Amino acid sequence: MKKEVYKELMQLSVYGELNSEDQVKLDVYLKKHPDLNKEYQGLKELKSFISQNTSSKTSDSLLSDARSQLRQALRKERNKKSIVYQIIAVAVEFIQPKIAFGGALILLVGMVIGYYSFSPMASEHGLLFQPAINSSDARPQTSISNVRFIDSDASDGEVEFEFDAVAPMHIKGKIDDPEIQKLLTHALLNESNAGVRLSTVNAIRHHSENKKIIDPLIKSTLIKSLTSDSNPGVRREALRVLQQYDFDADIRDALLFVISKDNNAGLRVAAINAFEMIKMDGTKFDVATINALKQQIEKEQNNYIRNRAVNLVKEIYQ
Amino acid sequence: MEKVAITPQPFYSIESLIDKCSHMAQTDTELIEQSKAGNFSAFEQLIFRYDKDVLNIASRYTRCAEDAKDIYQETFIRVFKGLSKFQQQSEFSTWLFRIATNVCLTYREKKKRNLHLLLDDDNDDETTAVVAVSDSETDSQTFGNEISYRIENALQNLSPKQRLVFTLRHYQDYKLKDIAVMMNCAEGTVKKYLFEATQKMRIHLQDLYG
Repeated sequence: MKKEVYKELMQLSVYGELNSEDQVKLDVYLKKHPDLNKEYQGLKELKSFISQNTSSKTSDSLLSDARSQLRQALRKERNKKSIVYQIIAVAVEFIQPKIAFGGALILLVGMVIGYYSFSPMASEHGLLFQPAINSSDARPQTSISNVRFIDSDASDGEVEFEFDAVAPMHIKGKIDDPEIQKLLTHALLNESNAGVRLSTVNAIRHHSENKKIIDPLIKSTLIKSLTSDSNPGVRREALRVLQQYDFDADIRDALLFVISKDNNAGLRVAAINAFEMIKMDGTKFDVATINALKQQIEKEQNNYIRNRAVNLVKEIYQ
Repeated sequence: MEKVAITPQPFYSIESLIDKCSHMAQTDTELIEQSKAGNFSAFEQLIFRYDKDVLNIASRYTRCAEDAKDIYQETFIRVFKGLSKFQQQSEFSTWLFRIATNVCLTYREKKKRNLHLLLDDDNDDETTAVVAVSDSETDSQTFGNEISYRIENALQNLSPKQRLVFTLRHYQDYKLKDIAVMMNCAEGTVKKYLFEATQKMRIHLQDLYG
């Protein structure tokens, strides 16, 4: 092979993309050619130098900021889409009167149901949600935002615009209530404010103290939060709550996920601690769990965590 | 409320576990179908599985937080608009990262054009253009110490494609074949960009590590 080919192999080798056969060929060639060997070592040094001296990855605040801006942009896109759909709906109405009549009938039925469900009379009879009332004027505190003018020309005496009206709602109920749980899980997964997500986990934690069996919806939400929340504090709290429950396959999988995937070293340590606590409770681990931990030991860059994982595996064997 | 006792399930490989955990609620396919049906929450859930990676790529590529956010937003707006036509013949992530790499590669040209428009305008654009440039410089200076600043500068001296390949391979750890799929080109071409990028980086940084 030509020298240029070996140079290419050198680059691939540095990035771990060389198969074992070519690696052997390269090693043999480099032993015979010190000049190229020097270049090869230089490439390795460059790679390690860049890795060691690069600023950390995207911060959580930048991600949160980007998500917030994206939500606004997507909302605008959705508004644009809805206008198009309205135009299409009007067109359909002209083309197919029977379908339009059906649609109107459904709309009418919906309005009737809506009226009986959300009228003040219905509220008095135990409707779950109540608008938050300002005692001074006894009206819901609706905030108006994102005003969009459709027709701002007032020459004909009329203007037309759209806006988002958000009214705060108030709810009080038992934490065991499925509706309350749905709201809590929704808040934990969708609320953009990390503080609110944290409060939600805390609410679940208080409720779950001294309980060993967990509601499946709450459990899957906590696991989802532990494995995907952008805020390490929320993930940590979710892990703490999950530790309270009976150890099972889902919790074990989530802990292994944290150990192998979470970029926060503190959380990886917390997951190892959780395994240790579970072991102290007398739980036996199967071979596959031990193998998964061993795999992680090989991959772990942090010496402290690696040592903790090694000790854990040793303890399991004892 | 009725409580359900959970029985431990058989245990398989770590990969399947990771996969199971990360898709515990719903698969990408399910979320895509729901998104297509107009469920916006499903769409958010879908994109928030990958958006950190997209932002990481954009940040590395542009080294400017504002530009990275622009690329991030443009990518997901395109995904939102195009999802109805996405036939799932490839993985969603592959399709998404292909869009992200396209946006990265076209972003600079688009920005240059916008800057020229600003400079050509007769109004108070001189100030605006200066502000736009100086903002970018300020961002670049926040990237940390002198060495990392030199590395970032060396990256900016690469061509857009070289920089993108280097970013995806070195920082995001994607395999060359995956990068080829994302960039819609041959693996050999990706190798070529990576080798050229590495050579240039060596020249720029030789005095620091040699």
